[in-house]
Amino acid sequence: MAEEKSKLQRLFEAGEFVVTGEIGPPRGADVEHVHKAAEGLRGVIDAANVTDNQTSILRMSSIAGVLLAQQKGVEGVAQMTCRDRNRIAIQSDLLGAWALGIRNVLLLSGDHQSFGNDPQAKNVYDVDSVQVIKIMADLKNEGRFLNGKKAKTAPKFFIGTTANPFADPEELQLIRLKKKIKAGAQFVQTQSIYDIDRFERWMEKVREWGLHKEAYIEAGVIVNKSVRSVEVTQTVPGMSVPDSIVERMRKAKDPKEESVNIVLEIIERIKKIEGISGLHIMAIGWEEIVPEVVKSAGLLPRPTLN
Amino acid sequence: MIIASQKPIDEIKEYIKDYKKILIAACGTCVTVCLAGGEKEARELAELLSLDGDQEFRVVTPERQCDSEFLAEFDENVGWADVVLSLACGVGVQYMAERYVKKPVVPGLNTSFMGTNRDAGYWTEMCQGCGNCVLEKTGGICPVARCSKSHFNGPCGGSADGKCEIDPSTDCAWQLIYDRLKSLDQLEKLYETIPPRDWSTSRDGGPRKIRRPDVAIEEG
Amino acid sequence: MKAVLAGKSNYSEGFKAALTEAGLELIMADTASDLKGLPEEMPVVLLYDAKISPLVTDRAVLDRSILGLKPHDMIVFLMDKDEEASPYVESRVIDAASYLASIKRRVTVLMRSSRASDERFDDRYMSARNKGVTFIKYDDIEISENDEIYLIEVYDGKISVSLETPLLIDCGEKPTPELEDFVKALRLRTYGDGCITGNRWFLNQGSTFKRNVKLINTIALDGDLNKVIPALVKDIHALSKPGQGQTAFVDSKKCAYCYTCYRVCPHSALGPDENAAAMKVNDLLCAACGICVAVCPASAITFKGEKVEGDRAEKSGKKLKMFCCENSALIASKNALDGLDAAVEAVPCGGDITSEMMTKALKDYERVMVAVCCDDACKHRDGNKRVIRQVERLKERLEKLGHDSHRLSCIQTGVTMSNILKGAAEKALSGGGKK
Repeated sequence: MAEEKSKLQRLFEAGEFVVTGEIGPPRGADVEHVHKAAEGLRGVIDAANVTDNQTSILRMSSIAGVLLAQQKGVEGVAQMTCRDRNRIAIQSDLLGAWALGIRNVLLLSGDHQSFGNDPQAKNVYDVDSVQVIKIMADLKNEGRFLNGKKAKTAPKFFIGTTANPFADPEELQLIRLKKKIKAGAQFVQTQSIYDIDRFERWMEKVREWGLHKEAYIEAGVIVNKSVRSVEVTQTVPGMSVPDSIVERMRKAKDPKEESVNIVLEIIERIKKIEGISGLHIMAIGWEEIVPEVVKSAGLLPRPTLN
Repeated sequence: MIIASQKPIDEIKEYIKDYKKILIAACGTCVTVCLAGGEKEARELAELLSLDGDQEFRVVTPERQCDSEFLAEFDENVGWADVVLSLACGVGVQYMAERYVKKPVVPGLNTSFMGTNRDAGYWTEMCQGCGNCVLEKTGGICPVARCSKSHFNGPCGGSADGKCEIDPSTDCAWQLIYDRLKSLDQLEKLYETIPPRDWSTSRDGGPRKIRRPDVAIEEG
Repeated sequence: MKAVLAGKSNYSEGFKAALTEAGLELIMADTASDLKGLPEEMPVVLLYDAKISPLVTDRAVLDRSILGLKPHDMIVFLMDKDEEASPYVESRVIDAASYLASIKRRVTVLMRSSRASDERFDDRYMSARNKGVTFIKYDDIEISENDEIYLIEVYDGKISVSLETPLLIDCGEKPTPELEDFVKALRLRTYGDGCITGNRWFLNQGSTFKRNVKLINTIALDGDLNKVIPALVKDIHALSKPGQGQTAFVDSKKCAYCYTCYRVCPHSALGPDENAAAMKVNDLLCAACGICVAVCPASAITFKGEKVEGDRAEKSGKKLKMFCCENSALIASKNALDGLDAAVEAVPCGGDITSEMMTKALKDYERVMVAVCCDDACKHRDGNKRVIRQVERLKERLEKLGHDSHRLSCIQTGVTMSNILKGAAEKALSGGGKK
């Protein structure tokens, strides 16, 4: 039987600067894909999110992906969106996840299906992300499902959620983050940061509201593989990529190298911000770069727990 | 008001291709005003579909197709026709089909939503008929119908510049709610966490009905 | 005759007296709420001050603002609006630029190439150029600000020019909130960020689409309102007579009371009749453009005096049917179509032509053509553009039904463009096509 508390939670509690990564599950039932990605990240990061049909593109389920990653010694964070499941399915799947040894869960609303390959799909949104956080927290703390019935063995997930420092309206986004934390979110991963000045201003607000004391905040970054990739990122709703970054990538002799430089500069600034407890690194389609980034950022070796 | 739009004309043509006498039944209420299925559209459709010339068309326009009293006067025309092409909303089409058991009734419209006419030629959705109105909490702007994800506790992370992530021409409902509550000096309402709602009053509870015993003529 | 003098402007008592002397009984409306209760059709003279940057209008302000500049700093005037400027603004901009050049400043005036310059100002442009003012016309512009220096890049379709300036003067005119209140209360049709006056932007002089409202920009007249008095009085007296010819008429039994006509009427001639629970037409304001007839969902609006049933024009046995807007194509068609196998039907506006009319015509004629005004020339708020979109939709539907959509066509023409109209008719007639 696995420990009740995840390694990720214990690292945060021990005051370590945590590093998490991300594994995009395959568009198929391919075991090797997840195993390979996990092996590449082992010892480099503390835990890896496995996305839940991110941008509404159909992939292997997050829970199965986490299980495969954990087989290779990388602790996983299962993601669960409100887009595809109602309250019954969400609770049921997470009961299963706990039983299979999964300890971290990231609860979010999920990208609208119109972004993906199945825009014809019916969405669910039975509950929103604040509500689902509350459901999982109540299950942990009171051992009861949303319907009030007692759970026989209640899962006690380390509950995470997301926040977007670049979305509007700013005050309402902060209110919503506060509601998520009040509902029971223990850690928060932010949208990827390119506009570090704006992020620093946002963190000032977060500190003003005292939110950094109520949950562990991880700053998100993306390592883009190419000029094209950063250009596309700039067009994604909710992303804020300054033109200067795109320009730097365009002008660079070696865009890959420049991309790593940019991320390292951003990480340096992030490390200095009061109230940040960790880093969440995404490298879509370029997972093999993550060890180099973590190393160059001076974040190796990763701490161990006794 | 119920807002609808006309089906593609080739689809309509396909529905009626096996019939000689076609009764186009317009509807004089909602779909007239949203320019989808009024007498005018019915006449225009009759002209267009008869360009080939081997089918016969008649146009009738009951005040409403969703009330039997208004349908009665068209019994004779229905008797004449091989098929009824109803330009009413889904309610009207079904009600007509129910009344004329032996007559095929086909729809000419796609019934779209409950909404309002914003400008000439522009309609937007306002209400989803979920059966449990939350407008008091949200400054009179509906998060169920107007937020793409029907969020109850604030916007998702895709809200930027006041617009919804799925379509830059759609306002973010939560931005509207925020602006309105701010102008009403009621921002404190946004700090309240709205719990998961009971959807059984919505379509999820099965086909809905409302009974008012006090208005009913016979008990039971 | 009664008329409203609206807007709180700096008009002189003399102006008021002159109007009174000319036989007008003036009702004063300082604010929009003063209009409440007055009859819709009462003539309104709306005076307003356009807000223009004081850097353009006030020499002292301009002098002050260049104090801090370095001698070689460029000063840039920007006339970015697509439409023509009022002659007043244009002349003031030339003057201000000339003045700066004459005191040895580097000055550039940027104008959108779509703007037409007033030819009365040719000499003044020449003189400004001689003093050293650079005028640049452009199609595209990009402006960024960096540390209080504006970086401007303009492109004229061939080359691009970059400028740097610490003083960028926007010469656009802006409506004041008071004026916006009046626009709302008078139901003047708004258009982008302005309101229609003929096909010009509303801060120019003139009447609006609502026949009884006259707009006067007092600043543009340099305060000399006396210049406009004779024309104004004549216009107002003309309003006491009802419009000539037809007006629209609402059948209150058919009316769905949906307000569609109220929203689309360019002349604000339709309003609710609460007793009848139906809309009614104000004959004094109706311009008989037919847009309400075309859009009425309940087919409740017709022209007075016209047959209610069967608006199909008689079959003529000709091959081509042309619906011609009487403001442009109808005039151009006079004699131009002699000898052609074409029948012309006059319509008051392109916006008056419905798909049903066109479809019916397709039954009786091999070819159907819609001939309407050029872009921005419609005097009834883009009826020309609306019918073009209707034609597009109808062609699409014809194609879906397997018909030859080339049988239907559309052309935009001006009053004097007879040859173009003739050419289009000949082309349509030579196209053959299946009946």
